[in-house]
Amino acid sequence: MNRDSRFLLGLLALPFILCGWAGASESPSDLYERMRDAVRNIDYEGRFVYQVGDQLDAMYVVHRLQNGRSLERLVALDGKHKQVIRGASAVACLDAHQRRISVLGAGSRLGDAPVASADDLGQVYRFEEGERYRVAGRPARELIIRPRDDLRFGYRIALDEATGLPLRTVVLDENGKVHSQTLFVELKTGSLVTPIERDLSALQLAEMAPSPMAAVSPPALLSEAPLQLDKLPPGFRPIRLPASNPEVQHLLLTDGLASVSLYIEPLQGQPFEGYSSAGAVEMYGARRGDRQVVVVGEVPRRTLDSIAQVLDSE
Amino acid sequence: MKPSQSAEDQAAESLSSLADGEVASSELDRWVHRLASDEAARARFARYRLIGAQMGSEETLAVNASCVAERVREALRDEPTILAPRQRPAFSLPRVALGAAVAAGVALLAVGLAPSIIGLSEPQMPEESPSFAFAPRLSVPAEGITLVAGGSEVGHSKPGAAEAAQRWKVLSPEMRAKISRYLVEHNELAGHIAAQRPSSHLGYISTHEPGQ
Repeated sequence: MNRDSRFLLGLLALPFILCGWAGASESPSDLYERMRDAVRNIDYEGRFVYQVGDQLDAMYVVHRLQNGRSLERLVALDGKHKQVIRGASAVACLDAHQRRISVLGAGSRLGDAPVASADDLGQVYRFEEGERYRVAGRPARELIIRPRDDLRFGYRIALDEATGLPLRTVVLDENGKVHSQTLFVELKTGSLVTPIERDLSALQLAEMAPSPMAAVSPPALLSEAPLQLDKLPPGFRPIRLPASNPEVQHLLLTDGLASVSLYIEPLQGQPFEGYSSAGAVEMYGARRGDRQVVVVGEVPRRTLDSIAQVLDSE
Repeated sequence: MKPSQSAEDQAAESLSSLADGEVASSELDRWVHRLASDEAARARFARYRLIGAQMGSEETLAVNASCVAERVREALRDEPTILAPRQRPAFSLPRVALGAAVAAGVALLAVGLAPSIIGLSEPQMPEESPSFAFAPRLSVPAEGITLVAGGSEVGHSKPGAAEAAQRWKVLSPEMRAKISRYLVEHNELAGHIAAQRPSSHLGYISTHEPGQ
C-alpha cells in the first residue's frame, strides 16, 4: 500500500474515528442536550408502547421538520380512536366522535423563552451516564437524570447512539419506582420517514384557528402578580403566558425539565376539586375563594399541591 | 354534513349525556321539560338508557329507566282525561306546568336517584365503541379525564381505591372539556420546554384512567 492509499484510507476513516471519540467524550449533560435537539430536529417515525401503572398503550408517531417547524402526528393504536396532529402553528386533538380540541402551538405562545441548559438543570438534577445496551434493535446509551429532591421525577433514558433520540424513557417517581415509560419497538429516521405533509387535510385541521386570542405578546418572567410566588417549590420558575381566554390566568412553572401549568379562573358552576390524571400527567383542582385553580403537570402530587398554594394567602 | 344533520347529532349527543347523568344539575329542569314535551326525545332517551344498560349489563337499571320514560309519556297522555272534568282551584298551576313538574320529579328520579336506589351508584361501563357515535356513556371519561377524587388537603398521598371510589364524582361536561383543553395546552408547552419522549401528548392519547 503506497503513501497515497494510506492517506486516502486515513481520510475515509477520520469521520468514524471522530464519531467514536465524540461519543466517548460526551458528558451526561451533553447527552441530554443531544437528545433534546434530536427530538426537535430529526425526522422520525415509529411505533412505541407507553406504560403507566399496569396499563400499556401502543402508539404510532411521525415527526418531521419542515421550514424549521415541527410537524407531528401521534395516533393511538389501542382502545379509543384518538390522534394529535401538530401543524406549523397549532395542535389539534381528535377523538372517536370527531370532537376536537385545538390549541396554539407552543412556539406561538412561548416565543423565544429561554431553554434551560444542562448547567441550569444541574441545580435541581444530577446527570449520570448509565450502561450501553440495545433498544429497538439499535445501540443505545443510558442517561440517568436524578432529582436532587422529591418534588420532581427522575428519568432513565436510553438514547439512540446514532441519532440521540430517546428509544426508551423510564420516569421514576419520588420513591424511585417506575411511574411511566415509553419504549420504541420500531423506529425509522431521516429519509425513511413517511412524509406527514401528504395528509394535508389533517394539517389544515390543525391550523384552524384554535382560539379567539387576537394578539400574542411574548412571554415575560412574572414580576408582579397577586400570587405568593415565594411559596413555589424550589427550582420552579414562573413564565406568564398570554391566556387563550381573557378570564383565565395561566402560569407555566418549570425547572427546565419538568413543567407545571397553573390555571386560575373565576369559579363557575360545580368546581373541580381533587385529583385526576391522564396518562402520566397529574391534575389537581381546588377552590380558592371565588376562584377555581387547576394545576396540571407530570410531577409528584405534593408538588401540584404546593403550586396551588400560591393563591392561598390572597 | 348537512346543517340539519349536525343539529340532530348535537341533540343526540346532549341526550346521550343526559342518559349518562352527565348534564349539570342546573340543566336538569330544562331537560325534564324537553322530555315532557318531545316524544321523539323521550324515545331516544329511553333507547340510550337501554343501550347503555346493555353495554354494562345493567338490565335492572335499563328496565327502570325505560319504564320511567314510558311512565312520563303515559302520564302526559292520560293527564287531560283525568284532569279535565275536575274543577281546578284558582291558584293551581297551568296544566302543562303541572305535568312537567310531575315528569320532572320522575325523570329526576331516573337520572339522579334511581341508580343509587337500586344499588348502582357508580356503574362501571365498558369502553365506548366507535360504531356508536353517540352511544350512552356512564362516567366514562370523554378525553381520558372525568372522574375525580375529592378532597383538597395539602400533602395527602393517593387515596385508597375504596376511599377514592366513595369520593369520586363526575365532572360537568363543561368542566371536563375545559380541563381537557388545559391538558392539551400544557402538554404542548411542556414538550417545548423539554423533550424526553417521542411526543409530549401521550397523556391525551393514553387510554389509561388510573384509579386515583
